[in-house]
Amino acid sequence: MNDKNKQKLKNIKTLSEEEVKHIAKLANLSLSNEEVKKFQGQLSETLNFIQVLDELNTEKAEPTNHASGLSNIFRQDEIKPSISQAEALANAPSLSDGFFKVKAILERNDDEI
Amino acid sequence: MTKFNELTISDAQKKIIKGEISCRELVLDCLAKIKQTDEKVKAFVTLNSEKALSLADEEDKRLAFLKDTKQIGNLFRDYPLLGIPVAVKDNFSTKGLLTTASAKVLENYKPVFDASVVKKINDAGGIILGKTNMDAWAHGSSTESSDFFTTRNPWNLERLAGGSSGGSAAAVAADLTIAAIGSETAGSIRQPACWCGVVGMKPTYGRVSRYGVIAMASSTDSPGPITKSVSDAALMLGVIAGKDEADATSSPTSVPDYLTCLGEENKIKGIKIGVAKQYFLKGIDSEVEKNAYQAIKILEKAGAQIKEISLLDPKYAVAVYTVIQRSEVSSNLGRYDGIRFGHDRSYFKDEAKRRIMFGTYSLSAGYYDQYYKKAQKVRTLIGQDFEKAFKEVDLIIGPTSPCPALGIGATKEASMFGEMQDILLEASSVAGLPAISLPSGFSSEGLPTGIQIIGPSFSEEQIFKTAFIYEKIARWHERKPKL
Repeated sequence: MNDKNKQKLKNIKTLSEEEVKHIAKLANLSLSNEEVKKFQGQLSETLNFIQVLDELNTEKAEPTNHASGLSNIFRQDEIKPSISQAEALANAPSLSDGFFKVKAILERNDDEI
Repeated sequence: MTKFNELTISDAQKKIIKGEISCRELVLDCLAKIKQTDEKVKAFVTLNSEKALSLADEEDKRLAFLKDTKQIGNLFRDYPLLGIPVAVKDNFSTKGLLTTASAKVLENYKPVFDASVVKKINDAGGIILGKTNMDAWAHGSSTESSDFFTTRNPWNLERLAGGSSGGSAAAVAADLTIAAIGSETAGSIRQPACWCGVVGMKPTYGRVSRYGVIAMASSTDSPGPITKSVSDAALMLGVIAGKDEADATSSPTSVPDYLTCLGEENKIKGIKIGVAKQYFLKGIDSEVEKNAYQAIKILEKAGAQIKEISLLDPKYAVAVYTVIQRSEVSSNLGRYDGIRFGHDRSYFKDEAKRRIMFGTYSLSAGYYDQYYKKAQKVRTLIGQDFEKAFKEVDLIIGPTSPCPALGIGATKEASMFGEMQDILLEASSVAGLPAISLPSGFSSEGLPTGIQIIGPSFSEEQIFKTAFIYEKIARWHERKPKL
């Protein structure tokens, strides 16, 4: 086996079930056990597919964020009319007294009060 | 007799100016065709029938006030889409009209504002006919991953329409509308236009505002027209292009009159067109290849100078796109909470989950440099590769898709389907370049094949001019599917 192939073999990357679960948690997605298994295979497949990027030397290349070449686009800091409260709330699944209603994200612990 | 829904924008305009048809008749014929065939094609997610008809009546009243054809002709200068029905991809926000991006998560979402493109169409007198089906969130190249239903190819209902703007392309091909709007991140206008045998123009990144388009990969998202002819695409791009305060990446470069550059045949004499051998891949469909070479011959005969060039292997662009697109998807959809509109995150389907998760991984601590930054650097190399090529030639020509439309079901569990279908489109997309796809003929099975013409940034005029001359000689756009 030549060096190049050895390198390729070393680079083959498989995500573990734990990693898939961790990514899902970071992305705020809940997965069933079946989904974890399915995505484990598919995400690993995609990871291996993109290994071709390592074939190119990018030492001298600066990263491109977007292709427009524009930077520092400013506008006047003027107050302009925006949508009304009623419009802003029009699509909300849950409302309370003109506010968006959300589920509590912190647990209340009475002992600490 | 031609039904009015079969007209191009320019022919419909001529008939309106002469008083041969009313705007109402134009809308009615489109709605009738939709009623007759959209059960089979499934191009539309939502129709805007009543509003479209009332808008048409308003335009007809405005026209009735004008005495002669000259006055009416002048009106079209200010309102270039006056009375023209336009189908809009469902990821463009339309005020008060369902905008779902064909995703279950947004099935009940009615925006309270119009996307800038939609506003420009309305301001130009255009009539939004309805919203078209797409791959959910634009994550795909088949319209098979729509959370609602699969759009069928009007040339063969057992084939895919392509995607993600599959509904728009199918609606134009089936004459359900006069013209349509799509959006492309890497192939999503050109590939469905190619598979459905119509014209699709992906402008330079920043040429058309992204404001109000449900974000997919923000650094490459480019709205553009899907039409029945090159001159219709030129007219529509003129309407929707331009600087927009609401989109900081929209370009301040002035918008030329794309229509005036068409029509003079001698204008392509001496133009240098590059043919990259890397774009005639091993395994490319032989009829696609044959038709592309025939198109090149036609342009050569018309006065273009054909030159062989060399470009980076397109596999690198596919990998770059895979990383960048998923990273940007994870960032854009990471913010989605379902609190202000739509359902919660448990409604995301497989394709969206897969892309969000891959992007989350490639952006996460420890992998950012290895994947995301590396991809951005290779993106620079791809841009430089095109810059080098455009020192030798004015335009580059090649096939759009390596094959004609594939069968329904081809994407099932193929997690890289889109990337492989769009292999010839991704390099120009990540480099932000403009490109048009137009019909190059048909396969022996009667499916359309397509060619694309790619140019340097803001070379849309040159691209339109060349495409227009090819179209005028080849006339493939005159063929219609039997439905």
